[in-house]
Order: sequence, then C-alpha cells, then structure tokens
Amino acid sequence: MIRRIEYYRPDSLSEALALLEKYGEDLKVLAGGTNLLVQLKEKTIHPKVIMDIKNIPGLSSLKINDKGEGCIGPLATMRAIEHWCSSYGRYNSLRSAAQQLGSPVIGNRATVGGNLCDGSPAADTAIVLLSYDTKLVLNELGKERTVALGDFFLCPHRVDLNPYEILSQITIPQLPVSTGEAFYKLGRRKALHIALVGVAVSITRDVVSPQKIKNVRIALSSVAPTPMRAKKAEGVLAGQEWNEDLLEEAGRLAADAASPITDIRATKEYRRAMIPVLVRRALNEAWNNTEKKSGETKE
Amino acid sequence: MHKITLKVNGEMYSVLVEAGKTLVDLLRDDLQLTGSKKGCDMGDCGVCIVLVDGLPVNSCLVLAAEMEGKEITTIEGLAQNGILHPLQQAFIDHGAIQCGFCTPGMILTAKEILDQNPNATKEDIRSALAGNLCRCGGYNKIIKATLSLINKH
Repeated sequence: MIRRIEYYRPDSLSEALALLEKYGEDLKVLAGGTNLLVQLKEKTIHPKVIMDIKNIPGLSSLKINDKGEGCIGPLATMRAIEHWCSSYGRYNSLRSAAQQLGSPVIGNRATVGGNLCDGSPAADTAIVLLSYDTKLVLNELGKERTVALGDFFLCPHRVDLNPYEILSQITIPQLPVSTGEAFYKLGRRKALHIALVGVAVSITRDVVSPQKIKNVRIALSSVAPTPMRAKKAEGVLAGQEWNEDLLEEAGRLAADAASPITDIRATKEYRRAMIPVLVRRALNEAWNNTEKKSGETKE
Repeated sequence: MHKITLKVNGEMYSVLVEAGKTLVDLLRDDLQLTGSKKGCDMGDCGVCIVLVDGLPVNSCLVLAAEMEGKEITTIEGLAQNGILHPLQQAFIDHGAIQCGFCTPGMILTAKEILDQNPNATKEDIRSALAGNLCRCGGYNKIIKATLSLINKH
C-alpha cells in the first residue's frame, strides 16, 4: 500500500493542465507506472497527488504526418512502438530500444514519455531519439513550447520540464534518404537490465558522393550525467569519405567526451573501454544499413 | 477512496479502493484470488503477472484505481467448468511446475504469446518470457510445455 496519496484521472489535457497548475511540485504524472510505482514504494519520491493521464485522448498516437515527421504520443508503450516500427519498416533503432527496455511484460505498460521524463542517463529510447534530432512539445496552462531533445536532459533525473508542464508530443523530423541506424545496449543479460553502455547511431550517406558521410549522430547512454551526443566524434566523420581509421578516431573521441562513473553495475574504466568498441560497431552497422536504404522511395 | 468497477475472470466487481492500493493487493487481499503472487513487488520477477485487457502486466506496478472498466484474467480464470486450460495441462504433463510460485505468471504470459503468435518459435517464447523468473530453474520444461501447444493451438 502506498500511503498518503490522492489519485486523479483527468479526461482531457486541459483538465490535466489545471491539476498541474493547482498542485505543481506536489503532483507526479502517472503514465505506465513501471518506474513511478517503484519510486513510490521505495519512497524515493513523496508526491501528494498522482495524476493518471491514460484517459486523455490523443496521447498514445503513433503516426507519420504529411511532412514525413514521426509523431509519437508520450503514452505510446514500448510494445506499441515496436509494432509500429516493424509494420512501417522504419526507425529500426527505436524498435530495438523499445524491445530491449525492461522486459516484454514491462514493455506492455512502459511509455516513451515516462522513459524520457524520468531523465535517467541510462534511458534506452532517449539515445535513439537523440540520434534522430527529436523535438518535444511541452504544455502548461495557456502555454506551449518546443524543446530539442538534446536540450531536455539537465542532470541525472532532472529534465527541462517545470512542475506545471506535461510532455504532449514527441516529433521525429523526416530522416533524410540514405540514413542508416544502429542501436546497442551493453549489459550482463538480455532483458531486465539497465544499460552499462548504450550507443545509438544515425548516419546519412551523401547521395551525390555515395562514399562520403553527409551527417552522423552518435548518442551514448550510461556514460555521463545525461544521455549525450558525442559531438566531436560526429565532427570528425561528417563530410569525410568512409574509412576504418576514422572509426578509430571517432571511438576515441566519443570515449574522451564521456564521463562514466563506477557504480554497482560496472566500473568507469570498463565503460570507457567499451565506448569505442560499441561506437565502431554501431557506425559500421549503420553505414551498411544506408546501403540497404538507398533507392528506397517509399516514406 | 475510489469506487471502481472492473471485470475479473468474467465477473463484474464494484469495489472501493484507496488511491495507493496496487492491483496485486486488490486481487489477493480483497478478492481472495491468491493465485497471483507477490515476489519482488517491483516488476522484475513476474510472479504477479495478470492479463489486463488480454495483455500480461505486472500487477504490482498497477494501482487498482487505474483498472476502472478493465477486464482482468488471473490464473483462476483459465480453467473453464472444471476443465484445465490446455496450457495448464501441458505444464503438468511436461513437469513444468516445481514449487509452483512462478507458474501462474508463466502460464498467463505464455497464454498471451500463443494467442498472439500461433507460430511462435522456441526463441520467441524464450524472449517473451524474459520478464518471468523461475527460482527453481525450471525454464526448459516451461518452454517445452508452451512449445508443445504450437501445432495444436
């Protein structure tokens, strides 16, 4: 029994925003509950009010709009995301991250909004969405703002979301043609584990000079206070001809940019040693995936 | 207190619950459906798994109040008219039950795999049961029992 809390279940976004306005820091949003209920039971948080947002229409949608943008509602579960990505044949890394988060049973409830707003440096979907240059829409009563996901994570379990705001939409810009992706989650087991190191790569081949890298995004989890982009590593690759030596340098720069800690799951030395290995593998895999993608006209 | 109406194993219930009561406690304490167990109480072990609108869910991570209007199936709801569900029978036939603690959660999760994917492979079953731990180490027979229903389902 979780004691001394109240439960509300608003039927609309405006009702939810009014509750947020009223209770602010004393309120926690309940989506899938797979993280929140653990926190409540372990008493790491002490809200007075739990606001269940699952009755609000439109927050679990998964669609591609007519601009080719991926529009994901915060309540989309890992399972729903897996199925959507599979059936559309796109966002393979997101499908992989959703499949590897927790367990299949957890994935039946866990939501992408919850995974992002919890702000864990180990969040699986966070690094994939970072590699896609994702944007977030945040709402409070009478206001709405758009934030780049890259600016959303502030420090462990703190995100750019004020106590009166709710995440209402996750938008993936249209990914350029000839973009390949890869996702790796390093861990001691295949499920029910938090990443020791996570890597998400998105790489775009130059359509005019197909041996050239047009653009690349390398996102890492569990090796810094927040999910992070390895921008120097990206910089050494962008505009260059693909070659193996560059991968070595990119891996090294990614490891330099990270600031892993030693915790119960792994030492900082191990994490730092694994970064270049996973970054190289992910870059190779993503680059090979651009070949499969080229010529694809269907969005 | 919240009044919620929900269906459990085909029967309608109207219950008063405190905001902080979890579904597993509602089922076990208020409805005396003790087939669903409480293990880790944090969504790692799977012994509390029930089907909510057909989907396996860790009932320790769900507030009872969230279940307004939902249909829940617990292990008690599988047998019909005294006849065991084929999965329950398969578990018995294959020796897939040792201490029995993981069994209700295993069977309910396995049921959903079979319902969703009648052509599930051994690997599909193994992956789908990743959230169900068995301290007795009985995994192989559990997977065999589930697999045995693939062609018959």
